[in-house]
Amino acid sequence: MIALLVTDVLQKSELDRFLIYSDKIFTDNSDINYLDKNLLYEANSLENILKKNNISSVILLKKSEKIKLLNLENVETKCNLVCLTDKNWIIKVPRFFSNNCNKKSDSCQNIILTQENKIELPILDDELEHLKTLYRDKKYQNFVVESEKWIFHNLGKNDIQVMLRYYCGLIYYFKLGNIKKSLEHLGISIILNPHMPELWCAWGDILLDKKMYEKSKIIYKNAIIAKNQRNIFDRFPLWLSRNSEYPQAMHQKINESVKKIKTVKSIYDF
Amino acid sequence: MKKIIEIFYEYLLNPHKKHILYHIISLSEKSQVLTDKFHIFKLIAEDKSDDSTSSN
Repeated sequence: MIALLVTDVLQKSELDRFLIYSDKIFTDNSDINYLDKNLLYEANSLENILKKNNISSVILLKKSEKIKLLNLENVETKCNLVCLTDKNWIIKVPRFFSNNCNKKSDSCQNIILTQENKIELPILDDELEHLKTLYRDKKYQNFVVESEKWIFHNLGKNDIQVMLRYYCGLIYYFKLGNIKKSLEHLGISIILNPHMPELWCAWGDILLDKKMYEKSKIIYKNAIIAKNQRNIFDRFPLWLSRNSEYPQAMHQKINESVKKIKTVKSIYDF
Repeated sequence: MKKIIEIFYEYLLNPHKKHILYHIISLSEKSQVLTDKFHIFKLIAEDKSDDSTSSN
Protein backbone atom coordinates (compact mmCIF):
# COMPACT_ATOMS: atom_id res chain seq x y z
CA MET A 1 0.00 0.00 0.00
CA ILE A 2 1.13 3.53 -0.73
CA ALA A 3 0.61 6.53 1.49
CA LEU A 4 0.87 10.13 0.44
CA LEU A 5 1.61 12.70 3.09
CA VAL A 6 1.23 16.37 2.40
CA THR A 7 3.73 17.80 4.74
CA ASP A 8 6.50 20.08 5.73
CA VAL A 9 9.66 18.13 6.26
CA LEU A 10 12.87 18.95 7.93
CA GLN A 11 15.65 16.86 6.59
CA LYS A 12 18.87 16.72 8.50
CA SER A 13 21.00 14.60 6.26
CA GLU A 14 24.01 14.64 8.54
CA LEU A 15 21.93 12.99 11.22
CA ASP A 16 20.12 10.80 8.70
CA ARG A 17 16.91 11.70 10.34
CA PHE A 18 13.61 13.10 9.19
CA LEU A 19 11.04 14.92 11.20
CA ILE A 20 7.68 14.97 9.61
CA TYR A 21 4.76 17.17 10.31
CA SER A 22 1.74 15.96 8.47
CA ASP A 23 -1.61 17.63 8.17
CA LYS A 24 -3.08 15.66 5.32
CA ILE A 25 -2.75 12.00 4.66
CA PHE A 26 -3.99 10.11 1.64
CA THR A 27 -3.82 6.41 1.04
CA ASP A 28 -5.32 4.17 -1.58
CA ASN A 29 -7.61 2.92 1.13
CA SER A 30 -9.49 5.93 2.41
CA ASP A 31 -10.96 3.98 5.33
CA ILE A 32 -7.63 3.67 7.01
CA ASN A 33 -6.77 6.32 9.50
CA TYR A 34 -3.49 5.05 10.82
CA LEU A 35 -1.72 8.29 11.66
CA ASP A 36 -2.82 10.92 14.09
CA LYS A 37 -2.88 14.27 12.40
CA ASN A 38 -0.95 17.25 13.65
CA LEU A 39 1.80 15.29 15.28
CA LEU A 40 5.49 15.26 14.76
CA TYR A 41 6.89 11.95 13.71
CA GLU A 42 10.44 10.89 13.71
CA ALA A 43 11.29 8.66 10.81
CA ASN A 44 11.82 5.61 13.00
CA SER A 45 8.45 5.79 14.72
CA LEU A 46 6.74 6.56 11.42
CA GLU A 47 8.39 3.57 9.86
CA ASN A 48 7.05 1.30 12.60
CA ILE A 49 3.53 2.66 12.20
CA LEU A 50 3.65 2.22 8.46
CA LYS A 51 4.99 -1.31 8.64
CA LYS A 52 2.30 -2.27 11.09
CA ASN A 53 -0.27 -1.07 8.58
CA ASN A 54 1.41 -2.74 5.64
CA ILE A 55 2.43 0.55 4.05
CA SER A 56 5.44 -0.11 1.87
CA SER A 57 6.21 3.37 0.63
CA VAL A 58 5.50 6.94 1.44
CA ILE A 59 5.53 9.89 -0.86
CA LEU A 60 6.02 13.16 0.93
CA LEU A 61 4.76 16.25 -0.77
CA LYS A 62 6.06 19.41 0.75
CA LYS A 63 3.68 22.27 1.17
CA SER A 64 6.16 24.44 -0.68
CA GLU A 65 5.37 22.55 -3.88
CA LYS A 66 8.50 20.49 -4.25
CA ILE A 67 8.54 16.83 -3.55
CA LYS A 68 10.50 14.60 -1.24
CA LEU A 69 10.49 10.89 -1.00
CA LEU A 70 10.89 9.00 2.20
CA ASN A 71 12.35 5.80 0.96
CA LEU A 72 11.54 3.29 3.65
CA GLU A 73 12.12 0.40 1.32
CA ASN A 74 12.95 0.11 -2.32
CA VAL A 75 10.17 2.18 -3.74
CA GLU A 76 10.89 1.45 -7.37
CA THR A 77 10.44 -2.26 -7.09
CA LYS A 78 7.77 -2.32 -4.44
CA CYS A 79 5.28 -0.21 -6.25
CA ASN A 80 4.42 1.17 -9.65
CA LEU A 81 3.64 4.63 -8.52
CA VAL A 82 7.05 6.16 -8.14
CA CYS A 83 10.25 5.88 -10.08
CA LEU A 84 13.40 7.90 -10.20
CA THR A 85 15.03 9.54 -13.20
CA ASP A 86 18.47 11.17 -13.24
CA LYS A 87 17.47 14.24 -11.32
CA ASN A 88 13.74 14.33 -10.99
CA TRP A 89 11.02 12.24 -9.56
CA ILE A 90 8.42 10.96 -11.95
CA ILE A 91 5.19 10.33 -10.22
CA LYS A 92 2.50 8.28 -11.81
CA VAL A 93 -0.34 9.83 -9.96
CA PRO A 94 -2.74 7.43 -8.27
CA ARG A 95 -6.36 7.87 -9.26
CA PHE A 96 -7.65 9.16 -5.94
CA PHE A 97 -5.57 12.30 -5.82
CA SER A 98 -4.88 12.88 -9.47
CA ASN A 99 -7.17 15.88 -9.50
CA ASN A 100 -5.00 17.59 -6.93
CA CYS A 101 -1.90 17.48 -9.04
CA ASN A 102 -0.79 19.41 -12.03
CA LYS A 103 1.38 17.03 -13.97
CA LYS A 104 3.26 18.92 -16.64
CA SER A 105 4.92 16.02 -18.39
CA ASP A 106 6.35 12.60 -17.76
CA SER A 107 9.55 14.15 -16.52
CA CYS A 108 8.04 16.98 -14.57
CA GLN A 109 10.14 18.46 -11.82
CA ASN A 110 7.42 19.40 -9.46
CA ILE A 111 4.04 18.08 -8.61
CA ILE A 112 2.10 21.17 -7.79
CA LEU A 113 -0.50 20.89 -5.12
CA THR A 114 -3.71 22.80 -5.16
CA GLN A 115 -4.36 25.45 -2.56
CA GLU A 116 -6.72 23.22 -0.59
CA ASN A 117 -3.73 21.34 0.70
CA LYS A 118 -2.29 24.27 2.60
CA ILE A 119 -1.75 23.71 6.29
CA GLU A 120 -4.31 25.82 8.03
CA LEU A 121 -4.78 24.35 11.46
CA PRO A 122 -2.66 25.90 14.18
CA ILE A 123 -0.13 23.63 15.79
CA LEU A 124 -1.01 23.86 19.44
CA ASP A 125 -0.81 21.64 22.46
CA ASP A 126 -3.61 19.13 22.98
CA GLU A 127 -4.97 21.03 25.96
CA LEU A 128 -5.69 23.95 23.62
CA GLU A 129 -8.01 21.97 21.37
CA HIS A 130 -10.84 24.48 21.88
CA LEU A 131 -8.62 27.23 20.48
CA LYS A 132 -7.92 25.20 17.36
CA THR A 133 -11.66 25.11 16.73
CA LEU A 134 -11.94 28.89 17.08
CA TYR A 135 -9.03 29.34 14.68
CA ARG A 136 -10.49 26.92 12.16
CA ASP A 137 -13.84 28.72 12.35
CA LYS A 138 -12.00 32.00 11.76
CA LYS A 139 -13.26 33.44 15.05
CA TYR A 140 -10.04 35.36 15.46
CA GLN A 141 -11.22 37.83 18.09
CA ASN A 142 -12.46 34.96 20.24
CA PHE A 143 -9.23 33.13 19.62
CA VAL A 144 -7.04 35.90 21.00
CA VAL A 145 -9.36 36.61 23.93
CA GLU A 146 -9.46 32.95 24.93
CA SER A 147 -5.73 32.60 24.36
CA GLU A 148 -4.97 35.53 26.61
CA LYS A 149 -7.20 34.08 29.30
CA TRP A 150 -5.34 30.81 29.06
CA ILE A 151 -1.97 32.56 29.19
CA PHE A 152 -3.04 34.55 32.26
CA HIS A 153 -3.93 31.34 34.11
CA ASN A 154 -0.90 29.37 32.87
CA LEU A 155 2.00 31.79 33.07
CA GLY A 156 4.45 29.06 34.04
CA LYS A 157 3.81 26.95 30.94
CA ASN A 158 6.39 28.68 28.81
CA ASP A 159 6.73 26.01 26.14
CA ILE A 160 3.02 25.95 25.32
CA GLN A 161 2.91 29.72 25.36
CA VAL A 162 5.49 29.96 22.57
CA MET A 163 3.22 28.62 19.86
CA LEU A 164 0.08 30.20 21.28
CA ARG A 165 1.67 33.64 21.39
CA TYR A 166 3.04 33.10 17.88
CA TYR A 167 -0.47 32.61 16.51
CA CYS A 168 -1.83 35.47 18.62
CA GLY A 169 0.89 37.72 17.24
CA LEU A 170 0.05 36.80 13.66
CA ILE A 171 -3.70 37.16 14.18
CA TYR A 172 -3.37 40.50 15.95
CA TYR A 173 -1.36 41.94 13.10
CA PHE A 174 -2.69 40.29 9.98
CA LYS A 175 -6.32 39.80 11.00
CA LEU A 176 -7.10 42.40 13.65
CA GLY A 177 -4.64 45.13 12.68
CA ASN A 178 -3.29 45.62 16.18
CA ILE A 179 0.47 45.94 15.89
CA LYS A 180 1.00 46.74 19.57
CA LYS A 181 -0.59 43.51 20.76
CA SER A 182 1.08 41.62 17.94
CA LEU A 183 4.48 42.82 19.10
CA GLU A 184 3.65 41.94 22.67
CA HIS A 185 2.87 38.34 21.82
CA LEU A 186 5.52 37.74 19.17
CA GLY A 187 8.19 39.42 21.30
CA ILE A 188 7.51 37.15 24.25
CA SER A 189 7.33 34.06 22.04
CA ILE A 190 10.75 34.89 20.55
CA ILE A 191 12.31 35.54 23.93
CA LEU A 192 10.91 32.27 25.25
CA ASN A 193 12.36 30.39 22.30
CA PRO A 194 14.88 32.50 20.39
CA HIS A 195 16.13 29.42 18.55
CA MET A 196 12.98 29.08 16.48
CA PRO A 197 13.44 30.81 13.10
CA GLU A 198 9.72 30.75 12.32
CA LEU A 199 9.14 33.28 15.10
CA TRP A 200 11.81 35.65 13.81
CA CYS A 201 10.37 35.26 10.30
CA ALA A 202 6.93 36.28 11.54
CA TRP A 203 8.38 39.44 13.02
CA GLY A 204 10.41 40.03 9.84
CA ASP A 205 7.22 39.72 7.80
CA ILE A 206 5.50 42.36 9.90
CA LEU A 207 8.40 44.79 9.57
CA LEU A 208 8.47 44.14 5.84
CA ASP A 209 4.74 44.76 5.65
CA LYS A 210 5.38 48.09 7.36
CA LYS A 211 8.01 48.77 4.66
CA MET A 212 10.86 48.73 7.17
CA TYR A 213 13.18 46.98 4.73
CA GLU A 214 16.52 47.30 6.49
CA LYS A 215 15.07 46.26 9.83
CA SER A 216 13.24 43.28 8.40
CA LYS A 217 16.43 42.22 6.64
CA ILE A 218 18.26 42.06 9.97
CA ILE A 219 15.43 40.07 11.51
CA TYR A 220 15.48 37.56 8.63
CA LYS A 221 19.22 37.28 9.18
CA ASN A 222 18.51 36.51 12.81
CA ALA A 223 16.16 33.77 11.64
CA ILE A 224 19.00 32.23 9.65
CA ILE A 225 21.29 32.38 12.71
CA ALA A 226 18.52 30.85 14.83
CA LYS A 227 18.05 28.06 12.33
CA ASN A 228 21.71 27.11 12.59
CA GLN A 229 21.47 27.01 16.37
CA ARG A 230 18.24 25.13 16.68
CA ASN A 231 18.14 21.73 18.27
CA ILE A 232 16.01 19.67 15.92
CA PHE A 233 14.98 17.43 18.78
CA ASP A 234 13.14 20.19 20.58
CA ARG A 235 9.41 19.88 21.04
CA PHE A 236 8.43 22.66 18.70
CA PRO A 237 7.08 22.19 15.18
CA LEU A 238 9.31 22.70 12.22
CA TRP A 239 8.32 24.18 8.91
CA LEU A 240 10.97 23.61 6.33
CA SER A 241 9.55 26.38 4.21
CA ARG A 242 9.94 28.90 7.04
CA ASN A 243 12.98 27.40 8.61
CA SER A 244 15.68 27.87 6.07
CA GLU A 245 14.65 28.72 2.53
CA TYR A 246 12.25 31.49 3.43
CA PRO A 247 14.42 33.78 5.58
CA GLN A 248 17.33 33.26 3.19
CA ALA A 249 15.19 34.15 0.18
CA MET A 250 13.59 37.13 1.90
CA HIS A 251 16.96 38.45 3.03
CA GLN A 252 18.31 38.15 -0.49
CA LYS A 253 15.25 39.74 -2.08
CA ILE A 254 15.39 42.74 0.22
CA ASN A 255 19.09 43.10 -0.50
CA GLU A 256 18.42 43.09 -4.24
CA SER A 257 15.50 45.51 -3.92
CA VAL A 258 17.52 47.93 -1.83
CA LYS A 259 20.35 47.81 -4.36
CA LYS A 260 17.88 48.61 -7.16
CA ILE A 261 16.43 51.51 -5.20
CA LYS A 262 19.92 52.84 -4.58
CA THR A 263 20.69 52.59 -8.30
CA VAL A 264 17.66 54.68 -9.19
CA LYS A 265 18.53 57.25 -6.54
CA SER A 266 22.08 57.52 -7.78
CA ILE A 267 20.86 58.87 -11.14
CA TYR A 268 19.83 62.03 -9.35
CA ASP A 269 23.02 62.42 -7.35
CA PHE A 270 24.92 65.53 -8.38
CA MET B 1 12.06 38.88 33.15
CA LYS B 2 9.59 41.73 32.66
CA LYS B 3 12.44 44.21 32.27
CA ILE B 4 14.21 41.91 29.83
CA ILE B 5 11.06 41.67 27.71
CA GLU B 6 10.66 45.45 27.70
CA ILE B 7 14.22 45.88 26.51
CA PHE B 8 13.74 43.15 23.93
CA TYR B 9 10.79 45.05 22.44
CA GLU B 10 13.13 47.96 21.90
CA TYR B 11 15.49 45.65 20.05
CA LEU B 12 12.71 44.17 17.91
CA LEU B 13 11.74 47.63 16.76
CA ASN B 14 15.37 48.65 16.25
CA PRO B 15 17.19 45.46 15.30
CA HIS B 16 20.25 47.39 14.10
CA LYS B 17 20.88 48.43 17.72
CA LYS B 18 22.68 45.23 18.56
CA HIS B 19 24.16 46.61 21.76
CA ILE B 20 20.68 46.10 23.28
CA LEU B 21 21.25 42.37 23.01
CA TYR B 22 24.37 42.61 25.18
CA HIS B 23 22.26 44.45 27.72
CA ILE B 24 19.73 41.61 27.67
CA ILE B 25 22.47 38.99 28.04
CA SER B 26 23.93 40.85 31.00
CA LEU B 27 20.53 41.23 32.66
CA SER B 28 19.71 37.57 32.10
CA GLU B 29 23.03 36.52 33.61
CA LYS B 30 22.44 38.68 36.65
CA SER B 31 18.92 37.41 37.20
CA GLN B 32 19.74 33.88 35.95
CA VAL B 33 16.69 33.88 33.69
CA LEU B 34 16.85 31.66 30.58
CA THR B 35 20.59 32.33 30.38
CA ASP B 36 21.38 29.37 28.13
CA LYS B 37 18.70 30.38 25.64
CA PHE B 38 20.20 33.84 25.33
CA HIS B 39 23.50 32.54 23.99
CA ILE B 40 22.00 33.02 20.55
CA PHE B 41 21.69 36.76 21.21
CA LYS B 42 25.45 36.91 21.51
CA LEU B 43 25.77 35.27 18.08
CA ILE B 44 23.28 37.72 16.62
CA ALA B 45 25.05 40.67 18.22
CA GLU B 46 28.40 39.49 16.90
CA ASP B 47 27.11 38.93 13.37
CA LYS B 48 28.64 41.58 11.15
CA SER B 49 27.64 40.24 7.75
CA ASP B 50 25.02 42.91 7.07
CA ASP B 51 26.79 45.87 8.56
CA SER B 52 28.11 47.19 5.26
CA THR B 53 24.65 47.35 3.66
CA SER B 54 22.83 48.71 6.68
CA SER B 55 25.31 51.52 7.21
CA ASN B 56 24.96 52.76 3.63
